[in-house]
Amino acid sequence: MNLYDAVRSANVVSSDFGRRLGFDKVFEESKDFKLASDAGSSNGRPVILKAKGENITAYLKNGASALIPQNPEAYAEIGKYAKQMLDYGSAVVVDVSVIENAYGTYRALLLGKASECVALIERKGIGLGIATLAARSTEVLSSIQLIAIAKTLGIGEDGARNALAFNRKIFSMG
Amino acid sequence: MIRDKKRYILVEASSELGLQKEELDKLFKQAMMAVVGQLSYYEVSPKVVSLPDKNSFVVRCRLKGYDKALTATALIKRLGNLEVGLYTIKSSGTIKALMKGAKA
Repeated sequence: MNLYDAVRSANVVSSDFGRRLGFDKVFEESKDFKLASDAGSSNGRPVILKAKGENITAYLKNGASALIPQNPEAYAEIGKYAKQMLDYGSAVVVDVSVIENAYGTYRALLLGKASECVALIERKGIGLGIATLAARSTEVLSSIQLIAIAKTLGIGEDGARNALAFNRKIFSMG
Repeated sequence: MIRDKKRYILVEASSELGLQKEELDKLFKQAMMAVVGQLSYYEVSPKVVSLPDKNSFVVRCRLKGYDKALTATALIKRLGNLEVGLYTIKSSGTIKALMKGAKA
């Protein structure tokens, strides 16, 4: 099974280094995919989900490929959109750089909410991706580490590999 | 007494470490303790066993705590005053097999 990752910044991971980290390809923002900036541009693009109470329905209706929660409140919001995500074929991506950059009790809360969200979307049958979305070289991780983090979130080894393979579907569309 | 099974992990740093083995071992153990906590530290029992080059090192951990060790290396972003990212390139049950695979 080929594994894929996505990063926010160009030149963070070269293709050789990506292969050394265990990925078939590392997608780069602006080169391989674009994030939706507004609902009108969300067709086939992943959406960053930050604020609580943000209206995501418009993004989902316009064909957003995935939602990427950035904080515990955003992870808690996913449950509200589960049915719509199933209807419109959107997925959820766990942004690991957010977990990496958090510290202490906030990181624990983030891990807890993310694992609750993952359990919900696995139960509902929504697509799941896990990516570092690294903006700096210190945020880059290998496939072994991403699988270990996925296991921490309650996903099995096969589920974690499927999530890393599913990244291709999410990040090669936009 | 049954001996614990160990796992060796080849870890690469995003930048040059410039540390001696003992110093790196101490800083790595401190960082690991901060991530896994006192309750899981024994399960992992990390130890830096060698430094093959300037920006990589080999960590030995207990097989029981292998997944926690991998997760912790992903979440460690600082060793002492040095801001660093750690990538686990390969792991093996013996250090000999680990180094053989790393050179190939």
